Amino acid sequence: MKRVNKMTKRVKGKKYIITVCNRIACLLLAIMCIASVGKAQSGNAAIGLVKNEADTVLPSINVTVKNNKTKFSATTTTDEKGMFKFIKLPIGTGFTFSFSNVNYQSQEFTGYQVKEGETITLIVKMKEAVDNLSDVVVVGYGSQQKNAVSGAIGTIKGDDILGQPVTGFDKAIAGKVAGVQILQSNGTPGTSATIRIRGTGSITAGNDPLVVVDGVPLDRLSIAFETINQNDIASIEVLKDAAAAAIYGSRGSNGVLLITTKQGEVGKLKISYNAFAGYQAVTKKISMMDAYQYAALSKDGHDNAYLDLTLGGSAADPDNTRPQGFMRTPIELYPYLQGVQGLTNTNWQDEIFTKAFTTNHTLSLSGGNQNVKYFVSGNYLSQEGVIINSGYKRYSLRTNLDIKSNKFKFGINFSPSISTRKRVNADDTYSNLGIVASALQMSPTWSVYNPDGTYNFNGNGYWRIGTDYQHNEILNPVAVANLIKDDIFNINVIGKIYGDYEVFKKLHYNVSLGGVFSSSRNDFYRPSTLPILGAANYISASNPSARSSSNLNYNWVIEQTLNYKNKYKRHTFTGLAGFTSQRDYINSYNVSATNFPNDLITAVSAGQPSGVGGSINEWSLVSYLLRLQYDYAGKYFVTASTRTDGSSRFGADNKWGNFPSVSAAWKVNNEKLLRNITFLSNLKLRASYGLTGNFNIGNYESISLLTNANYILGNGNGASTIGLVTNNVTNKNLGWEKNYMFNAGLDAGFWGQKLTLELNYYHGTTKDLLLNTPIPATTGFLTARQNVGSVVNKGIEASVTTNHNIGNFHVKVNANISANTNEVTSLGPNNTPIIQTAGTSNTYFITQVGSAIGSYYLLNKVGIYNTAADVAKYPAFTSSIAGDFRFEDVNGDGMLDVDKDRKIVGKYFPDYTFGGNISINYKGFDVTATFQGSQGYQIVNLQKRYISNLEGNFNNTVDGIKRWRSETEQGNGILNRANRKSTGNNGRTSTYHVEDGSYVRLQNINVSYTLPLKICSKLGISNLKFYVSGQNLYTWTNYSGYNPEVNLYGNNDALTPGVDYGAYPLSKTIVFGTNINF
Amino acid sequence: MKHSIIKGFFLIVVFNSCNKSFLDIAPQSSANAETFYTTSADYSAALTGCYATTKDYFNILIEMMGYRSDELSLISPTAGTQDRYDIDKFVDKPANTIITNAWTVFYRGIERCNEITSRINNATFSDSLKKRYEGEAKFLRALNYYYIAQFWGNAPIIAEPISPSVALTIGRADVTQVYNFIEQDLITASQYLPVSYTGSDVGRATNGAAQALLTKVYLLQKKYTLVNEVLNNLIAKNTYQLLPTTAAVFDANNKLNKEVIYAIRYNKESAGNGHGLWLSTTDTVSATGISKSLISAYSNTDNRRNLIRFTKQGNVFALNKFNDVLSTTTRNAGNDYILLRYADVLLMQAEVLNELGYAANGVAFQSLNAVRSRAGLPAYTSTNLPDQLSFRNAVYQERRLEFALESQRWLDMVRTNTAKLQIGLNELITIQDYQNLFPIPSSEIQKYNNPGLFGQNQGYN
Repeated sequence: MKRVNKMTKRVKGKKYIITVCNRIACLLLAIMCIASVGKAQSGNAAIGLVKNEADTVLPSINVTVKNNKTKFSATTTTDEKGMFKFIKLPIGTGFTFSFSNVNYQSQEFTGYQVKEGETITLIVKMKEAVDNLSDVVVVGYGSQQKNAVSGAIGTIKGDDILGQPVTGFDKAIAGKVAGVQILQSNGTPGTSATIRIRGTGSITAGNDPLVVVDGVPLDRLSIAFETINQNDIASIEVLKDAAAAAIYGSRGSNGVLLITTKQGEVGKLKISYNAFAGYQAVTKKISMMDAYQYAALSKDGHDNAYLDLTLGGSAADPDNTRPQGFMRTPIELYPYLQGVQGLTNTNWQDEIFTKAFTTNHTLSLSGGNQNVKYFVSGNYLSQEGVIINSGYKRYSLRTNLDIKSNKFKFGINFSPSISTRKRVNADDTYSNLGIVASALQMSPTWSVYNPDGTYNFNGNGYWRIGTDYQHNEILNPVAVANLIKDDIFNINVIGKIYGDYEVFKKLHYNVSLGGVFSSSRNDFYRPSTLPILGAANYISASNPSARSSSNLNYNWVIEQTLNYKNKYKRHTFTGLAGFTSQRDYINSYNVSATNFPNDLITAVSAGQPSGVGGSINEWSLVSYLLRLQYDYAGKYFVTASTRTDGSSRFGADNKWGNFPSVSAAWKVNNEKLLRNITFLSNLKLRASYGLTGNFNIGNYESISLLTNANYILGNGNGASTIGLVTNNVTNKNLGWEKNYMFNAGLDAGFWGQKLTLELNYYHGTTKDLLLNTPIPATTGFLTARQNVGSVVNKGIEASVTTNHNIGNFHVKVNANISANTNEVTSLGPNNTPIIQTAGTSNTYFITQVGSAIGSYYLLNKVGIYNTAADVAKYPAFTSSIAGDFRFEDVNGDGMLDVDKDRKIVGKYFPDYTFGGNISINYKGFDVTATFQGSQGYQIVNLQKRYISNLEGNFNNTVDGIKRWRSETEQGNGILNRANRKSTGNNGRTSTYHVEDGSYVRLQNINVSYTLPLKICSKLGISNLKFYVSGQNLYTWTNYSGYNPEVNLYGNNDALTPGVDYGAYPLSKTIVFGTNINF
Repeated sequence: MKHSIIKGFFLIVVFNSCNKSFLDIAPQSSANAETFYTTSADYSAALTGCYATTKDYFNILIEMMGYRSDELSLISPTAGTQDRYDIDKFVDKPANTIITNAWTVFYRGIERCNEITSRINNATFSDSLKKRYEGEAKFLRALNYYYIAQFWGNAPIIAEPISPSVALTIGRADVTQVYNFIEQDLITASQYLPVSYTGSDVGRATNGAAQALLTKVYLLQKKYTLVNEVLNNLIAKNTYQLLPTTAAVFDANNKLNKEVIYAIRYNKESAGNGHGLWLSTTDTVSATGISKSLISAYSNTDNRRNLIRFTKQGNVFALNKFNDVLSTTTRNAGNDYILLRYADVLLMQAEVLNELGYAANGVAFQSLNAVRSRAGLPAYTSTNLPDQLSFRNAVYQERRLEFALESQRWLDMVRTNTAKLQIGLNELITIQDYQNLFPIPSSEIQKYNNPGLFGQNQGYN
């Protein structure tokens, strides 16, 4: 980008020195100057020309000349040719010229001297204001002036997300738009975040917004994430309300993200290079017990288990007199108990977490003339994981080409990318070899390696063989991370060709063919050196196993639209009619193999095949669209649109749906009455109502499919015989999920848009939910996809932006907040609540009328029975004893019952979310900080089942030393008594495991310095910037786990949100970067 | 210029005309129920699917009968075994996931059978094959109802595939109706099924299996004359015989031997068709969950006692009855789980003859002694068992010893109305009469939300 904010310097006579400007324009100016100035007055004057960055002259720009010393001041505005002039200026020094307009960034030029008989000449280029009302906003199948928008649309400019050291645009937009939640539930390198626009409207049919990249609708966010380099993004528009999204019909109900990539601009070749490199580290480590503390806990747990089951037993009784293994303490722990120093004391978190390098490079070339514009870029991104042996690399290219020839325009967007990913299994329980969970739970008394350098697998059941101390088997997480190979290779191509022809004046016919091709391959190998989990296999070599899977996906869309725009006096009409068809195809297969002769060759072909699988999945969508817009005198705006969609996914009797919407806006400040209120630069009222749909279900869910169920038949040992069984019930009426949304909004701007305000209220009702309804098991199935029930999401969004110049400081502040409530309003014929479990069989989630989707439905822990008297005094379980958790007797029957005394104890939906952004610019220095947060929601931290269970079979968090020990040593009043055979349902999921997730995060801080132009021009470059940027630097939260945004199961199933059962932690990143433009 | 408009609309029209087929996408990689169920191969595959359900039985039966009865007991629960502990200790909760899963599995099996029985009359392949398939499907359907009726009593009778809305209207039928339904299925099955199979069909339900199961259903309803009739018919065919030892019956290298009437089949080398080594343990201190009362029930000379002991294999100790050398490939075992065997037929014969009239040293004695002497025990005579009551008790005791961990004991205790007594005696747990039945899963009750139609079993509300 050329930063052309320079001007000519004052010179003698009529000779001008022009530093940076277009020569033709200067020549033109010169001629005009001669013409106009010559006529009027020569000397003691200033003349100038104001243009925008595209070299178009700008009328109505306010120009002020001031002299602070003499208090002289004069004001004028530019004329239709962009010209201004001041005559008869007082002679002297210290003049300042300032240029301002609502739609442009103000500029000031100081230090001018007015001399007798000389004329100061200025040529000024104005840069568009950050909040520009004449800005063009991309809407579905077209664009609109921001002024005329009547729906709820949030915009993020490409410049706003530059310089953030993240791997995808998704993470960079966190906190930037009210009503948009970016959830980083997982820190795995190369995974996209979860995006939620205005809450969760659907229960089971998916809540991801539709992502449209340069007009190509993508089926999956991950493809956008893979193919879009954030440096290539010109803007992201978020269509939040039904009126904005209804043009996407059956896919609009979760909102739409429209991503527009950069196009070439008229001008000479611009070369831009952006790069950063730096380090990442895990944001947090959990304070766990060391080996000595753990040994003490473990002994305590075994002793108490013994004492509870043995009349007259004593903690001093030797282990060999205790009848059961779990009553005994492993002999290896005794040296720790005796305080022998220098024993193995492994911090497993330190072993699996590492400092990780990350870097990102983008080189782009752009430019063009009136007929051909081009933008070409290449990107390399590498992100090592903060867990050992994990990482992500991506290479991408982009070519955007636009060509114009008279009435015909055509162009191409083409962006291929390749990525590779090394995965580790971080998001899982220890029993599924989850690395993070294993590292937390593994006894610190085991070493990572044996003396001979091999991995130590004592954690895998050394304490279960012979005597079963009932310490759960855990595989060495360092070995799991390093030995298992799990690589993914991905190719994505997204592209579009289009043509546009002006049929009549103002009527355009546009046809485009867009598509996505993506293919990925996963190779997994588990070597013989990693034993199978469990004491039965302890340190035995395992039979190596391997898996390879591959898929091929293409998705094409053909769109034809007719666009008409006409102006008749003060009436402006815009019309759009279109027809689109889209088809998606995925073909995938997988092969697994075992019995590898050795671990040397890890390809599936080296083993014996043990299984094959595969599937072909297709869907198609046909749509008709129509939109009419009317604008009267820039004051009244009405938009009506409708889309008719037909989808292959729905039942034979219910394939088609209509999605109409209407919206209106009134630009109040353009009324005569208010025109004189000069401080009010914008006031607009908006209202909309519309219907959108959701078609995110499986491709064939209305049809009863068959699935394999094999059985052994035949002589001797028999052989597997293929069986085919029904997999679901048929539903020919399965149809769309419908979201009716009302939105009312207000946009206001004051003092030339120095302060802007945007408010929205919305009320969305999702009906005919595509619900996996529980059905009687007598059907042969437990759930069936049906259209039942409704959910209401309503809320408010507010966003305030200020733009101030304080001396040489330019300060911009944005704050946004949104509050959303989610309530189920009906559920099926009997309103039968949906109760589901996730993670464990007793972690219940309830979805019922009157509550938020997937509310936590658990026992409510209200304290500890500190004494035996307490147990007698309060309602208790029959197994409860002193030191156990005391739960609320919810039904008040005087007894505790694990089923009858459950209640709603929390939800995953925050009461409100907010974001804030402050940027300060001083000369070449820029400091930007972004905050975001969520308040008023809970997490079910199931990790506590292990690391805070006080049973002594897993390592525990260090606060476990504050446990209840006896009636006289009651601990911190929160933690129960150590006991390997926990009594009183302490281990059952309850509010003990539910934690407040509220947090405020310093999302990003970026400090940059841009070299002064003078130095740049000497170096032959137009712009050079250096920066330091930090991402995820700090999170303020009371949540005890790694990441308060964790959501292990909820992304796939909205009914069971908010579970933490081990997840790849987030990383904080600090990078150094540079941005050079030639 | 007008040309392009025309072209544009032409394109639209072209697309419109193919809309119908464009939106009709049939699944390519899975068959669907609308077009399936035509050829005999289709029905054969569907039938295999019915058999496949029974692979889920072992876990259900061992939890709901092994632990429930006085065969297995759990000293204290871990986080993952709370539900098992509750069943074992008669702390009955309608939300118990083991019980919920059992209900689901049995009705899933019934649905799969119904897909066949409801359509097979319209199929066009040979009548003999159609009858055999129908017989197999009905045997398997009856097997599912057999457990449902005994675990929960009154239960919905589902005889064809039903939609969710229809399901909500079908309440719990009286248990006698359920037994009638089972009897009808088994009578049909015993008429339609062959005595044996060859080649790759070995392992399917036979006429003998249908008759043996029918016997059990009659017996638990005390329809002794009918029991005797079917048993005589079954024994007269001479298809089955006792092996020299009980251990031999369970030999993983001699599957489907002459004593086995019906077994659930496994193959440890076939992925997904093996199982973990049943009831194995790694602990030698508190080695087993086998009830002390069961161990002490065997006399020292009883060669079946060794079957409930453990043998070391690698790092684990395998229960001798279900011992198998683990596959090096899958790390799985492959024993079949025997549901019906000839010893059961003989002991049922002893029981029913005694109920029809005690006869000193009669056929009933011969049958009982055939099983006893194989175990290395002295034969009973009318001196030891002088009357009907003593003989009856001897048969019950013999069943306990012979069928240990074969998922017979709990049903025998309920059938003979001795559960309360024996659990009190052997497990030192006081139970209530209503606990002869399990609670209906609370999740199912919530779905109906209609106690009149689909209510909880008495005692569990």
